[in-house]
Amino acid sequence: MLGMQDLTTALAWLLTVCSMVFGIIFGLIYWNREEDEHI
Amino acid sequence: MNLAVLTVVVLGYMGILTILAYIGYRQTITADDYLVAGRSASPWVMALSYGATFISTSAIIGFGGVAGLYGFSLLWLAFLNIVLGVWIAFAFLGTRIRRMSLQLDVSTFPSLLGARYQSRAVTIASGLAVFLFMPAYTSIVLIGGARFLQEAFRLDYNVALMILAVIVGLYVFTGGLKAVMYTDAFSAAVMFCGMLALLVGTYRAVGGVVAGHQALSNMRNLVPETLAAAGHQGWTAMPAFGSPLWWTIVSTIILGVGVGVLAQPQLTMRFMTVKNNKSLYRAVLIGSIFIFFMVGTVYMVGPLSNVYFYHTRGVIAADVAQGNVDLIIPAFISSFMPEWFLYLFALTLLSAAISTLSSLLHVQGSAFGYDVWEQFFPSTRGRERNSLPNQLGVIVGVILAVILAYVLPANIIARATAFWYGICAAGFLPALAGALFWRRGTKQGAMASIITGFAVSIFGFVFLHLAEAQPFGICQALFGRDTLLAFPWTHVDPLLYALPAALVVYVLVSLLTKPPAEEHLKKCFD
Repeated sequence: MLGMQDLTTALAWLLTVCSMVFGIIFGLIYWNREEDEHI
Repeated sequence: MNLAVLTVVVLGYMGILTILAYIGYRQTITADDYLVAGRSASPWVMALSYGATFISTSAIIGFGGVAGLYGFSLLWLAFLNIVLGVWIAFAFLGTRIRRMSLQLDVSTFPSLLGARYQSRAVTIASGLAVFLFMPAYTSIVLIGGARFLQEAFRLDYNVALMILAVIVGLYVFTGGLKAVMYTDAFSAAVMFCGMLALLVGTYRAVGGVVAGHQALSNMRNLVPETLAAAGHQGWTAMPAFGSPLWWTIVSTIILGVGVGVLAQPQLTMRFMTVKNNKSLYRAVLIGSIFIFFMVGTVYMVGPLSNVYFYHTRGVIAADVAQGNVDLIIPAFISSFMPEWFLYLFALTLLSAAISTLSSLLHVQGSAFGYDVWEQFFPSTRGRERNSLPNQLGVIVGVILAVILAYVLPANIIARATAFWYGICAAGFLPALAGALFWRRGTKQGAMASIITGFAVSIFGFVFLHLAEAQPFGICQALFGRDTLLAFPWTHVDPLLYALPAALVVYVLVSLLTKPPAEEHLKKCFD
């Protein structure tokens, strides 16, 4: 997969990219979350 | 590179840093401003400062070179850096640390632990651990920056070391965390541009994502015999399970640095600088992109440099670097990137060194002044922006780092980073996580856990883990052999047994001792 010799390394490449995308989505969803304005 | 052009570029860059440091200095009025940037930093500045502090020259040059040698298996560390180092760290640990530090009115990592556990001893022990062990890490960051200045400007190494130490020490000494964070954020922007261009340029040079990986996979028969014997199976494969290389990559590099990031005092205290949890959630977005283009780029470019070198020179990266892995990334960049990029990359490396150095010196200064000195001499505590003990701590931190820069051996960058991250995780993580999430955790449990974590780690590095035990030579002097136990213990990173040991001790001692007062817990958690 992805030109890699083994699946574990290909998975590491994919998960690294996906974790960045996840971070972007998480940040956007929580961008205006108001939970602690009093503290 | 043209030396005159490089001098102008670097002077311009240093000019911008000076202006930003001066702005930080002018905005620093109280002790809170000096220690936690007035708790009002924007999510952009916090996330970029966190990232720039996290990524030093060692991450780019040292770990990039290691990836060039060992291959894509190091990408698991990039994955952990984003998931643990950004998402878990910001959204879970960070929100708790920010809230608790405000409720307990503390401004440093050791004082947070001490206040939560109502223990001056925990504050002092943590402050001393930071102040005594961090200089080794500060020193290798200093070495990385000085080596760059030495090569780029053809300076004498001693002069380069002094220039860097004095410049960074001076603006931490005067400006505090605001100056550090403003300059960090600017440095991070420079680093981002450099690494983005490097990633895109590298994949273009090797024919694209899949084609580049495939070309590297086809080179598996070129793995040097010594590495193959240690378990190397090719640059796009994991090392053989259970081999010496597998233990080194998985336990020291991936887990040591990947988990260690959660308990780094210079990083966790960044969470105290924002005004609400919303800022931390926003910072997840910024931090994820930034860390991806730092560590992701390094761990992709390092292995792919083999493809480029093989197609252009008929050799692999390790041959080009002639055994010194720290030279792989500089050699690769100077071989194929256009000249304008060399200036940008020079600034990227300088930014990475300065931003990490400044943060480490700031934390060392506050550990000495705020967490140790002021605990013994409370009358010296003031609300002014920078107390004498803090300044003294910064000066001592600079001197220690410079001395160690002459003592530490060559080729130490990546290993010393893993050592610092691993020892922090074992020593601080159970006590920190318990402080934030477990109401039953006691001061006796925290103290026992910190002592156990550091003691077991140090025992492991001195008597069991071959890479450190051999150069230390203590085990050889006492027992006539390099390590006490045989393989695999010679290659298992001490983090793997020190962290569980510290966790078990923390839980057991906490359960066996008197729980904290309910009133105090309400103040901490509610």
